[in-house]
Amino acid sequence: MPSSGVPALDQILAGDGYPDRSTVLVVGPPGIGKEALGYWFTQSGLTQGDFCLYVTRLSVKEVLQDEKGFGIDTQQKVPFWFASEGGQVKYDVNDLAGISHNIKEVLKQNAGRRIRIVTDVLSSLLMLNTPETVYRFLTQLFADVKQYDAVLLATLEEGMHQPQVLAAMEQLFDGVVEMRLYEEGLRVMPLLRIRKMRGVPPQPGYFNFSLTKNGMEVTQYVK
Amino acid sequence: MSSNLILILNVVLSALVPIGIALYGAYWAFSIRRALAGRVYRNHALWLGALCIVLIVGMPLDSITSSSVLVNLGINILIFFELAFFFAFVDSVVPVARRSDPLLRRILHWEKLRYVLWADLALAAVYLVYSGVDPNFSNGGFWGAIGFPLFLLPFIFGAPVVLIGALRSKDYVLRDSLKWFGVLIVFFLFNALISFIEIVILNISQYDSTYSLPALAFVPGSILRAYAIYRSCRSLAPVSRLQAAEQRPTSAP
Repeated sequence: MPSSGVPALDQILAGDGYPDRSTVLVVGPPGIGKEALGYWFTQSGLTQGDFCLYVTRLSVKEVLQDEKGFGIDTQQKVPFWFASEGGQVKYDVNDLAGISHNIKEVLKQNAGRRIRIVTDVLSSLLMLNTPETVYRFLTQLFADVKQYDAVLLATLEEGMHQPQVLAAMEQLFDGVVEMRLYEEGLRVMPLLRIRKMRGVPPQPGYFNFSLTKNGMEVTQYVK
Repeated sequence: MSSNLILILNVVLSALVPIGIALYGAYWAFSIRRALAGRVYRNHALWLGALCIVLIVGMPLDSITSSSVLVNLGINILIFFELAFFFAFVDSVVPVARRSDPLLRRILHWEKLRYVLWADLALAAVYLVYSGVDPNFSNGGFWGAIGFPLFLLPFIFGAPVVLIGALRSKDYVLRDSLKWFGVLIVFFLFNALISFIEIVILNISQYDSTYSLPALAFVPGSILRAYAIYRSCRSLAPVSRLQAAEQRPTSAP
């Protein structure tokens, strides 16, 4: 099973990481640090020699700058980029068929290796297309992911989409990691929960987490 | 009701209550900032919290009167920095709002308009310094009349720009925060208009401004202005409370 890149999160996920040939959705409000989970997942994959594909609506420069903020060394190995600027393949939010075709090609070319795909484009796809169109696109993409030895991690902005759209997206993925801000008295704290994960027993409880330059610290939530 | 009691009520409602609400807003902005990880969002929360503090510091400045040139000059410089900080925040928020519009539409040609408005604020700085040195300069006549429009022009344009940005934004969280920030600018303009009317009336007839209609309208304006910035701070990120059923124990990692 591919490690999430966060040892504490791997332990919550039955000690191994994300399930093989799975699709994982990270949901949370803007700015809470969803992308950091993608960065560490990619970084862990690059260290282990996996093929990593990063599909982003941002430019490569912006993502690398953001990664540096989380203490990730971007000088060594880097993933294969689908990005709006600076990537090997140009990402065009209006060309769903093109995105699908390019991902499929990359999967085919790296069929013998373990593949990790990270993407932050889901929210913008949902803004510019009907949920049905995105749903169909994802269904096809997930079928491809499962055909190869791949794991896909996508981030989705909470608060940008209608609840029924969010529920439909969550239903489509094998695993859902929820990151939220909770108010306790006069304190605001970031909490994390595994809403569902294929092969992992349901875990209704929450965990405190903090993102530092040394990684992510996850501790049991005690009121 | 004695005039002393009215004076106390006036101070409590127009100054202490808004300061308390704005302080609470600043607290929330900084708390949410601490809980966030994204650089852009942390900076936005930091600036909004700082704006609360700047507005709190700026609230009593208008009511200070002194015959000392140095004191007046100091107050006017502080007022200018308050306005400049406020407008700098408006200026920084507009591109963020535009980026959250999937169609990336321009808002009232802000990229060009902002230069004109910054030039206007520079003129306002010169005006404030001059009126600090020579108080008669801004008392009545042409120069007295153009003072308020000069200071307020950036916000007269800023309010609709921020509100249009909020309407077009597809980021529901940012939209809510922007909406309340736009409301804050509207009430800021409302209170400035009230002050302007009061000064005009005072220049025409000497009357007791404590009981005047503008003074009475100023109080709810101040409270609503503070409430708007508080709501803008609270809307920086969706923060919810845990339900009792959700607080089940978890196994430690």
